[in-house]
Amino acid sequence: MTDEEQLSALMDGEGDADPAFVERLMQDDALRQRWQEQHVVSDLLRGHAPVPFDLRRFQAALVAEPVVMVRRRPVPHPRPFSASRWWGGLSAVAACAAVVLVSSLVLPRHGGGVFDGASGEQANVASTESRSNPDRPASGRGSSSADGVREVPPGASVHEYLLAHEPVSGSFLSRGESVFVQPVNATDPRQSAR
Amino acid sequence: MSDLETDQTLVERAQSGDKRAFELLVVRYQSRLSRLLSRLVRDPAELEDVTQEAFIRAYRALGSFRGESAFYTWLYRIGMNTAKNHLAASGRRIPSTSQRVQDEDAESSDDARTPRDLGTPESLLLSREVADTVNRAMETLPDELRSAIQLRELEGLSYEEIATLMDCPIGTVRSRIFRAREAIAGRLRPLLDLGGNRRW
Repeated sequence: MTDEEQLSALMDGEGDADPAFVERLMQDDALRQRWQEQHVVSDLLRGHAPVPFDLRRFQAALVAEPVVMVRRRPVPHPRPFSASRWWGGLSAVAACAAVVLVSSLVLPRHGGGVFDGASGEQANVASTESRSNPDRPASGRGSSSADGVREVPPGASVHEYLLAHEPVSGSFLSRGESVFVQPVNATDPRQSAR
Repeated sequence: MSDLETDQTLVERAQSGDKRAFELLVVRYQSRLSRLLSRLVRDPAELEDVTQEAFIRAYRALGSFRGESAFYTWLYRIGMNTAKNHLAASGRRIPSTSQRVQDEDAESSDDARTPRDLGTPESLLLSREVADTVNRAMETLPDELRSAIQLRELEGLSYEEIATLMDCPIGTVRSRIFRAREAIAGRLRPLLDLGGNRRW
């Protein structure tokens, strides 16, 4: 837009005024003069009689006034996309997720072992024994103590040790349900009796 | 950019310490505010003093202007208070409630722009002479300039509407309106001392 068009648009509130033009308008005496004239003519064309107003007198009075400075609250701008910040955030989320996953797998087991009462542990031992070796009597390979842990005879294998301590183990993997399986005799006792 | 946005741009510049931006606002609203205040202050010399004082008060209070209302609405209130204080200080009667209501209505209506003679023979003569000069200047304008300025100032159409009616680009409308005003201003300069020690 030319200066003429910009001046017209600005005074009539039409179209986008270039901020650079507004800046020039304030600095350029010739443009300011045109701004004044255009307003006077606009008023007259609308049928308004001229009203006396000494602009120079006002300018002199304004010079004597202290400058008004209004501190504006900064407007937060959206920060541009940053790949490093994005990856940093993602890794933090992944770390948190990993901690939650491990906690959900491990902590409930520990919690059961710690807070279960003696009777509960006893029941747990019994059920484990029945699953491990349904045909074996509870006292077949060592007797159970009062706290549910069977006494392991000297010279027993690691497998038997783990099985014996299964009730107080918090780890799923060390319970021996799948790993430490008590071997059983598959031979039918009735057939062997014949 | 609307009128409000133009004002807001200038107000923000003035609030940033640029007094020239405020001067542009004064030029923009001086005539309108003076006409409004002439309802309270009849004497032309007093009216000019009150108008000047109102603008100075507005500048001092510029820090409190948050843009929640239009600049002219805010200026109007300052102007009315200044005029009432002036009348009270000089022991004169402030217009009645009904008159005040009419004045406040006038703030947002076209009635605030009603031509108002200031009562002196000199001002009446000048007004008539100015009106004749404007009419003659309009008659001598090329058709496209005259049509554009008439549609804008007399019919109140937007630039876009004028461009549609005149079947031309909006940039051409801006240019024609500017040139029409410029031509009329050229005729008025000797009369109103535009460009010199201007009092108008």
